[in-house]
Amino acid sequence: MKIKNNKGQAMLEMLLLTVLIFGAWTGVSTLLRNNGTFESIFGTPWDRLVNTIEFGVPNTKNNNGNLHPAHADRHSTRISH
Amino acid sequence: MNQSGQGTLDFLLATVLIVGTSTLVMAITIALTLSEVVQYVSFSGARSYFAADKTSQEQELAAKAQVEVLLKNLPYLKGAVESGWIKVTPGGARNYRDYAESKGAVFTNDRNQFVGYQMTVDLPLLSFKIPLLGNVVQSRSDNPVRVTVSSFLLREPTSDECVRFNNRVYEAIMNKDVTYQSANLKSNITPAVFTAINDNGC
Repeated sequence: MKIKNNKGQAMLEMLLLTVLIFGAWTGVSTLLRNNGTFESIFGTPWDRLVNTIEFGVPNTKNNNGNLHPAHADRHSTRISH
Repeated sequence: MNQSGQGTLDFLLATVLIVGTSTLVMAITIALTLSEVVQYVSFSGARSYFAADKTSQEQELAAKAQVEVLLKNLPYLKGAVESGWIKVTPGGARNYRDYAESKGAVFTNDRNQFVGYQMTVDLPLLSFKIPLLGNVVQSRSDNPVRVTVSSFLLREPTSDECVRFNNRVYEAIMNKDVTYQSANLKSNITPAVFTAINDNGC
């Protein structure tokens, strides 16, 4: 078949490409959101910062009571036991 | 093919991402600055609590008053609290051994230095979503993002505690040996009229 009028070809391709690109973008962003990728990028350093503020140790653990500067074991005049 | 809209499309997508990440960086900067300011407030409260007074209740009140003044009047912090960027919950001045133990601290003797001022800071500022990328740090640990800020400077003994301590010292001396009691009788002083006089603390 011989196509005489090609005027709509570019528009059609543009529409298909747009749908493809937006679809891929939406898929990737949904995946990132659902997996909490961005949260893990900023969340882990934030947990370290919180522990640094609270206990003075940059780790991600929950129980840092023994590492707090006020704890006797961390004090320069600690009592041996 | 007409490609004149391509740049606009790229610009729009890039703008959303750049504005999102720039806002995030700005929010983290503000949050860290605010937590430093709150750290100073807790330090100031602990310092007021530290100073000797007649009773420990008055030391607690001194700390409470100091923190209230700072939370209401510190220019940067005041604005952040009023705008809801940060929520500060003063925990008061006291012995925080229970807090330390809840965080895994083990005490093998009576020595406890977790005495001072503590406050909890919520940062709704960081509980936002970046367009197309999702949460920042919202649902990972605490919701909202919470930081506990403490200043443990201990506490000077109160004058009441000093009087009680000196009375106990006197009683201990009197009970140590009969000689002391006889000396006491000779000088016509009895335990009933003994008065402890504190000279600048215990």
